[in-house]
Amino acid sequence: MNKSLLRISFLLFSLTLLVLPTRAQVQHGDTAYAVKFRSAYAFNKTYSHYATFDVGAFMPVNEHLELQADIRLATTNNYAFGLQVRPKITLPVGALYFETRAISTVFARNQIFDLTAALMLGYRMQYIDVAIGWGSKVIGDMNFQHNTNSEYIAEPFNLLYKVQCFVRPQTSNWNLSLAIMDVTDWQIERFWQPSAMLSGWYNVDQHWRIYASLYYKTAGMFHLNANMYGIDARVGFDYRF
Amino acid sequence: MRFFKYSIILLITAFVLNACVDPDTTNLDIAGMFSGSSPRIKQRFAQSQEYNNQHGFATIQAPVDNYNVYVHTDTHVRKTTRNIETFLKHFRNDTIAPLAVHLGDVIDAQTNWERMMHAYQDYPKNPNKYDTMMVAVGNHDIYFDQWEIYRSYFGTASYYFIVQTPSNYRDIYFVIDSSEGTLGVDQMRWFKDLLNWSDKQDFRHKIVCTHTHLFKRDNSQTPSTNYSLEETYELLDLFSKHHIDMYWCGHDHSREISIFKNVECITVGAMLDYKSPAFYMIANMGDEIDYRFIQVDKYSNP
Repeated sequence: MNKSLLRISFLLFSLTLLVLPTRAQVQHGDTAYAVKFRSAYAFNKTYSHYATFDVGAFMPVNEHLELQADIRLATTNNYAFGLQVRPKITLPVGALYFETRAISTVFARNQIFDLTAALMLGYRMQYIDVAIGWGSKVIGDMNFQHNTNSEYIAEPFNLLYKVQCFVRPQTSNWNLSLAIMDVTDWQIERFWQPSAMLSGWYNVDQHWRIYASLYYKTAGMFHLNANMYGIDARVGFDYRF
Repeated sequence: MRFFKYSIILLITAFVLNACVDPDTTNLDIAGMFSGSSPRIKQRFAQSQEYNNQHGFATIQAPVDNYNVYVHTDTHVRKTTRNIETFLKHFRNDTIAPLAVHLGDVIDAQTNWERMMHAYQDYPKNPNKYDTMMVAVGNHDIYFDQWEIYRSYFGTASYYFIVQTPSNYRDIYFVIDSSEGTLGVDQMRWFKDLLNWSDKQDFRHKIVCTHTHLFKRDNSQTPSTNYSLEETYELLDLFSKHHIDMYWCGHDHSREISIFKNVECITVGAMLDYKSPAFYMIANMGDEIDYRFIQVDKYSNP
């Protein structure tokens, strides 16, 4: 079982690499292909201080389909690969989209990997983007010498959500947004583990965009004893074709 | 449509308020959902260490090599202690059980500590046996600023103890504070050092006792947050590398048994007075660890 899951992860990784060299661009409402480069300083209570580097591609293939691929490398010896396929329907007001996500993270430092598949239904307007869905996670042991009865754990049902509000229309030259969610491009957390992200961008010219974000994750939410778990401060740029 | 919308809003509001209210005092702590007012893990761990430095760590003598440990969790004491009294009766009559463990959420909210401690202290003891109760702290035990009350009874929430048998087998039990959904930087460092030290000793079994569960294989209990994914994996790897036999926890009120990376993780299940069935676990610590679950409310007075 473990080996077949690893094969699936490898397949996803290969797909991501195949998709990357094609053209790309940025988030919601955007119509340009783009490649994205980000780096972040991060801290959490498990790893303390660390850094991450991301490369991503956004591909609005046509008005009914968007593709997105992301790779993240972390100095904690963790590696994440994400792929999103997003068919969409334009409505008189806003757009409805169906998002299929697959994210695999190799926690090499822990000899563990996880693979999450998710389906989300979203609705996007000029100032707001909301989505709700369902995800399943398989957690696998990368140490194959362990007892065969202890190879993997399945967490079959997890409610996913995202609410993101923008201060300007999403096609604007600059923007700021605040999002509350349990799903990001690199991780699908458990339902009761929400995080918040403040992000913004500025289009320097037709091709170059500067991006910055501040991400905040809690621990113990809904325990009446919640506390800060981690933050990351991310900066980067996009090249839009 | 408007009625539906307002009904949903009302339902969510009622749910949130219900989660934040103390049933005895009807006090609310809505802010605690997002930022708790109790001392944070860094401070709690420092205070636990201060206590450990002054009092050291316990070594308990077991009467036989294959002794029993009585494990219960999530008693959430409100107005009654029926199941706890039955549990104590069983534990205190078991002559090969030198200790019992509570995995946290001893009480439900404010004002219940006193009631709980009366049950423990007043219930008749068996003079012919050890009567040790080890406690891990749960989230309910510390919010509404109850950490100080917990500390006044137990002193520490991060510690270990050793059980020594007549044939000089030694088992070590690590008790860690996970009541906030993370061990925190300092406690994690201490725990790693402790595990490294334990590798150089000759322990027969290594057990981790704490409140928060590791996996969400079902949604039997909501809302019960557990660790972030990063911390879940870090802990699992530590347990595996350091040959932890079992991870005993509560928090989720339904029993769940998982084996991952050669570590057996047992969510014991709640022992509530106000919801049946209520269970506790007896672990028999021999060369192998056998365990069984006892439905305690079958023996409790109504």
